[in-house]
Amino acid sequence: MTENFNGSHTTQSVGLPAALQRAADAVSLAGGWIAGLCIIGLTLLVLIDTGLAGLSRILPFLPNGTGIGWEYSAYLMGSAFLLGSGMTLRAGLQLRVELTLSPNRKRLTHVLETFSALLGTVITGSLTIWLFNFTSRTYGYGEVSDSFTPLWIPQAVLTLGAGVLAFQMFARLVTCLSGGSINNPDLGAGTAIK
Amino acid sequence: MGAIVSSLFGLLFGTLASGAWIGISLLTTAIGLALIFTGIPVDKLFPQYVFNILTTPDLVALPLFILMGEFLFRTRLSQSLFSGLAPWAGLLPGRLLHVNIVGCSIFAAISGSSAATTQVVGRMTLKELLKRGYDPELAIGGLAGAGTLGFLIPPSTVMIMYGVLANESVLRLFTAGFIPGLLLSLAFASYIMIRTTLKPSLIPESERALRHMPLSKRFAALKELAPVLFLILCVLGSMYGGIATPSEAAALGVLGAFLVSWSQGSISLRVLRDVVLGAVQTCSVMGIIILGASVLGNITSTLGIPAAVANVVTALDLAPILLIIALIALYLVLGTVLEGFSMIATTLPVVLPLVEAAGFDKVWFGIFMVLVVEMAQITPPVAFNFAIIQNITGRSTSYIARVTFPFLVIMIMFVILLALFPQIVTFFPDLILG
Amino acid sequence: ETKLSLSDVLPEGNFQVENAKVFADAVAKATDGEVTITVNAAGSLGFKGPDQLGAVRDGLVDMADINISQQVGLNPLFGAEGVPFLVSSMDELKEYHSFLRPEFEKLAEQYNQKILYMVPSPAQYVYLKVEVDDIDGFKGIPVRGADKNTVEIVTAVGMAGVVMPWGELIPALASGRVDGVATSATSGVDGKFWEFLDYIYPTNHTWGSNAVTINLDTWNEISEEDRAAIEAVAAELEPTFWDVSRQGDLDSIATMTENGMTLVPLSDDLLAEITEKATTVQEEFFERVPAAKPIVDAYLASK
Ligand code: NA
Ligand code: NA
Repeated sequence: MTENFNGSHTTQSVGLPAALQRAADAVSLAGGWIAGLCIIGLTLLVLIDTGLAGLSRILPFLPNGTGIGWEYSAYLMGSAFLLGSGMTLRAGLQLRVELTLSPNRKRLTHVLETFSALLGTVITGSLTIWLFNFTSRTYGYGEVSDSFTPLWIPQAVLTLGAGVLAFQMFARLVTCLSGGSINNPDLGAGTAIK
Repeated sequence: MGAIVSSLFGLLFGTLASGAWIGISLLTTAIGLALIFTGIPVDKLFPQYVFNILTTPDLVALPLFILMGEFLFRTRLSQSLFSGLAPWAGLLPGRLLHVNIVGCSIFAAISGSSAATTQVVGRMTLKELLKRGYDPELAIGGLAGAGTLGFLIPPSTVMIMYGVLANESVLRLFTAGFIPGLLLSLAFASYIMIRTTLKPSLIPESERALRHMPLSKRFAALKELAPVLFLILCVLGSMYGGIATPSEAAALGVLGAFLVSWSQGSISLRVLRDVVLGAVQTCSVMGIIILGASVLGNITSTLGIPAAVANVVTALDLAPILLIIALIALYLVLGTVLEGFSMIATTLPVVLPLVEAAGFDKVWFGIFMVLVVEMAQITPPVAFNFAIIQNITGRSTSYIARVTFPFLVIMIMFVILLALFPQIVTFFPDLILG
Repeated sequence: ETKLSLSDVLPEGNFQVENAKVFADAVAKATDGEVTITVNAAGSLGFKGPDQLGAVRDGLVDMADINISQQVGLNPLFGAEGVPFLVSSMDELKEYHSFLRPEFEKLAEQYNQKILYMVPSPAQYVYLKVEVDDIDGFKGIPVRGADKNTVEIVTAVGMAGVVMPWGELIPALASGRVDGVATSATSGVDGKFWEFLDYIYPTNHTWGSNAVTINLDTWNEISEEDRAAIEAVAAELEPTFWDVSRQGDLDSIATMTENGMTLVPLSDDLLAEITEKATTVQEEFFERVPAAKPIVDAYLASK
């Protein structure tokens, strides 16, 4: 998997900012892989439920569903959305209105890139802290879902995902300020379709 | 209310214009409005929103259709479509130019996205058509136009997102997409037939022979379509045959795409890695936008904005058709700079109550939104389908925009037709689902 | 002047939402416009059923129309109304509430809120394609229930209970993925069940109410006079709201029978067989919710 780090070796920044960016990339890539496992997991879960619903009509001794398919596949989906977002941001794929970000206006672009990284850091950082406190409260109250699953577990995974994005945002801000290259298109699958 | 609405637009457009990511921009606007205009503790409100929105079971079909699209996009599965369709398209005036239209319509019935449809069909057809000497303007414009069918013909990621945001049944939206999808594809095909009949030089001389292929050869080619038909059966068959719900049908589609690609020998570890990580990336792009849009929708409801705007528009007493024309104009403008999903997300909370007040139903408006999102795919500067075609052909955006323009006009006229005769959209779901 | 926001996850047009609007109008009148309540239906404020209680507790919204049994994740006692086959009519439910409501009021206070009024959902039925004479007739029929408790009850009676979101139900019925539903008559009309199902069984397998609550901090900021006026309005309207629920049940059954469905009263034998099964289900229920046992015992002793 080291092949994915080629991009960060070409950045001009050195020392602490570069180390921070490398750490953020490693964390984001790990998050991306966990997100991938979540998507595979939810696909299998939905397939198992579909299969059981069909099979139990022929073989009545089988249960007609897992009973938790709806709920858990939704948790896996939410986890995948957030855990993969750091990798996606770094690959330069998160959507924005790029009109003002033109390569011909280097100074303006640099200012705007710094601003959006700062705004992103503040927003995702706050969300991470809020989610962390939310999860601790749920844990304290002992709240469970309809299937008696402790709700703090999926909430903790979402918190982790938001944390990955916040870390990548912060690294982007530092890279921006130190003049390194902010996107690494090699991180992840290279291209995404929408 | 004036202060609230101007803060909403100020925050939203200010952050968008300064290059903030769309999801971050929507979240900033929502958090800002909540902080300024409500006394709700935002540190407790927003984590609850994040958890609720990102774990909505109705959204589960979305990652599944994305995963399926990645399989189709990154394997050989699609290439057989061209060889299966070409012998039949040769019968029509316009010859193989119809492979673009029919190919996009068929591929749209398995893929949930316009970009995937344009990409996959474009890679098979464009080089071949240009090599054979077809008119590049009709070939490229036809692809850009028909590629948008990916959202209109079910399954459709836009409909899933609209269904969740507008609280409307996804199956009903899917069912409503069929007839308009077929009619629009027919309109594109008719335009190609008219143009090529009026000016036969658009078709290369050498293609005349296509009319005289033996029937046996034509039928033999049909078996090339088997993998594609198998996937349509997996997805649409299981859904309408009652084996599966939309989410389950999507999962069966993933399984089918995997099995077909595997039997064709195009699955390797490298491909699997790209499929999975590609799906993760597309999912998080959409997930963050859906999160921001839903949060903003909740906050605008809390502040009473949709009701207030609806009251203003109701007081204007516009004729419904004028309202729709005004909305087409609005979305054409927004669509030049906004990507389709963000366009739905940023406007729906305000526009939906207004359209409902004018007497249109939510399913009809869902199809309307799908069509304006499709137009946004082909209006520069931000135009996904153009980026893909540019990548395949190397032509400039302005060239692609010029040759696609007639197809854009067809789409605009089509939307107006739907506004005049809403039954075109509603009668089929009413018939099938009651 | 106090402006309050009420969150309701039920859609516009549902009788509970209509009740909440009637309440809001009456409160505005009774307080001379000092206290106005905006009813936000269909979950438009972003809360889902199970987090309504927590949302009022944390002050994320001033008021909510809460489905009480959906709050079992916070405290199992909230499920105490769902004791299977305990209550067989709305009048009996009223009696049961005289024991249960004080407990709910104490519980609500623990979650920083006050119950203004409570309205039950209409009676519960099982809808099937087939006519059933004895308990074996239920065996193995896939029946959809809205929550775990309902699914466990219909499964205990012999059917194959499935949890499924409402949005997936109609396609599932159309295709035969499920051959029955356990829900209220008003929901049966919403889903046009006559298009798929033929027989209605008044099983009364469980009951459930909604409570409209207000955050205690918000409540204490309202003037004493207005608080008294709001309480008076709630007490005055509550019996009317119960009648709306009862009438909704009667009207919906009428609509369904007019559309060709048949209401099949449970025969004495069938009732006896179900009651026999019910004992086991009830025992299991009290194992999960031991706190409900003394309330139920007190109610049964009073009969
Ligand atoms: Na499609
Ligand atoms: Na555009």
